[in-house]
Amino acid sequence: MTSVLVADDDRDIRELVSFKLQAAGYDVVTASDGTEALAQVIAQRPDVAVLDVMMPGLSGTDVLRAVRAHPEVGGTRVILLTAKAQEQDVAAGFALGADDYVVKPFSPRELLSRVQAVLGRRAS
Amino acid sequence: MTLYTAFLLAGLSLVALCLALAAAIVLQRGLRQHAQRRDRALVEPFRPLLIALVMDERVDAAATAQILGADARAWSALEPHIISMVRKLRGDSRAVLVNLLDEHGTITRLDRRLKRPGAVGRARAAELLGLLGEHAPRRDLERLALRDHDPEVRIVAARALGEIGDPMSARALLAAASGPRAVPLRIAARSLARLGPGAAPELMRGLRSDKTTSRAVSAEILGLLGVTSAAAALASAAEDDPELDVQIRSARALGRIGVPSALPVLERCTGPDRQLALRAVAARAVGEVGGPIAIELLARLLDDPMHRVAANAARALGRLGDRALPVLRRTAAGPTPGAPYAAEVLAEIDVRSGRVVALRVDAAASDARQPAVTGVVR
Repeated sequence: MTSVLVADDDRDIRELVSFKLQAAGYDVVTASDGTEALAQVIAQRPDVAVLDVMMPGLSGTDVLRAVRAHPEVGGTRVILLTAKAQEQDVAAGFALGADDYVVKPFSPRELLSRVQAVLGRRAS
Repeated sequence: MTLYTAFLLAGLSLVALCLALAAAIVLQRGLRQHAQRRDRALVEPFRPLLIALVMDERVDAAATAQILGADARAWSALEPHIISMVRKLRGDSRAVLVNLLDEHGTITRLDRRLKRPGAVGRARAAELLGLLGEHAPRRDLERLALRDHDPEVRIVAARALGEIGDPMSARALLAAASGPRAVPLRIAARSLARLGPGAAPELMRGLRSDKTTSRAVSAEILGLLGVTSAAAALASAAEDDPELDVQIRSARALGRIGVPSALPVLERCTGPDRQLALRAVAARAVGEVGGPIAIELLARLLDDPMHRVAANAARALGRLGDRALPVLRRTAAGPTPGAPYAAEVLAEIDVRSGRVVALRVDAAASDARQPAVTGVVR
């Protein structure tokens, strides 16, 4: 089963996104901070990681940087989920190697479509 | 009583006071944490239901009834939780939550709070009503933005109207930007810009208002919204409005809208008989419209005796990319007053493209208005 990591320090967002992804048939693991998220990526090898940018400990971009530098999980698809909506923030996210960028407040349906699109891109 | 005893008593009193304050802080923190734990416990049974309802993105009558059936104590904990979820979501998921709040009467209660004496309560209610969007009582918020005696409340109400985004609020927001109880111009302008193109008819009327602020804001927002049908009215305002501020904002708006038919008006606005501030803005606007005629006009403005006009013309040419490069190169190599302006922009383009690594400024080598700038090659 395709697995997705949802990392956000906000419990509501973790639960909302998890519910949506599980209902769509994905296996979901969660993390409530950046350090836990990085550990989960290395241990669970999810197909996609949805990372909040502003998390306690390691930020989402720190996690992304560490993932990209890791020899074994460097190819993990990463979607950044963040309230930082400025053009330069989005550009910085992509420059670090994010596969997609979703701005909060977000539409769960749109996020699901983005996860599916990112997985589709990998399959193709 | 000796002096020593008095000091001792004062010291002891001070220590006792500090201890009492510390105890009060600890007690208050404890009470707050207890209230938070109690609220979490009250919300917990409803969380799975709420999440399922939101994620289904449709109104489930049974789930809605169950949540709405929460007793008053549970709802008082649930309502802030639902509002915090509204802040995080958009689309159908958000609409489901707003419907839930509306059905429970939250919006009616907040509307009543808009009329209460406390300014903080009114501002808080206005902010929440803005968050809840289309269900909010627009007219009450408009009244608040226009007439509330507290300036902070007027600002929050104007922001809320922008959040709601109903173009019908354009008139109130325009009116709120001027007069003795005006909200700051940037607040009204930002809210007006959020109303979208639907606000254009009211903004066009605003352009004919007898109030300078209304005309200025209308011109600015019509430009930001890119209302092409407003080009003729803006052209007329840029040339003929009695106020310089309105002329400037209209010229800027014409540039943002970018219709070529605005070029003759913008050209006249750059004329030597016009105010310097208008000429400088019009030069930039000419560049935003673009095209061969604009390049020709900007090439002439490079030699303008006024620094701001020539500098803006050069930058506008630089932004026009490859099509304007021959003009800049020709001017930079020539003996005209525009040469240093053209050279500076060419050097900036070289730096951006990585052809040179820095700019060398030679203030003594050229005329006093514009120092000579050359690129330092890697």
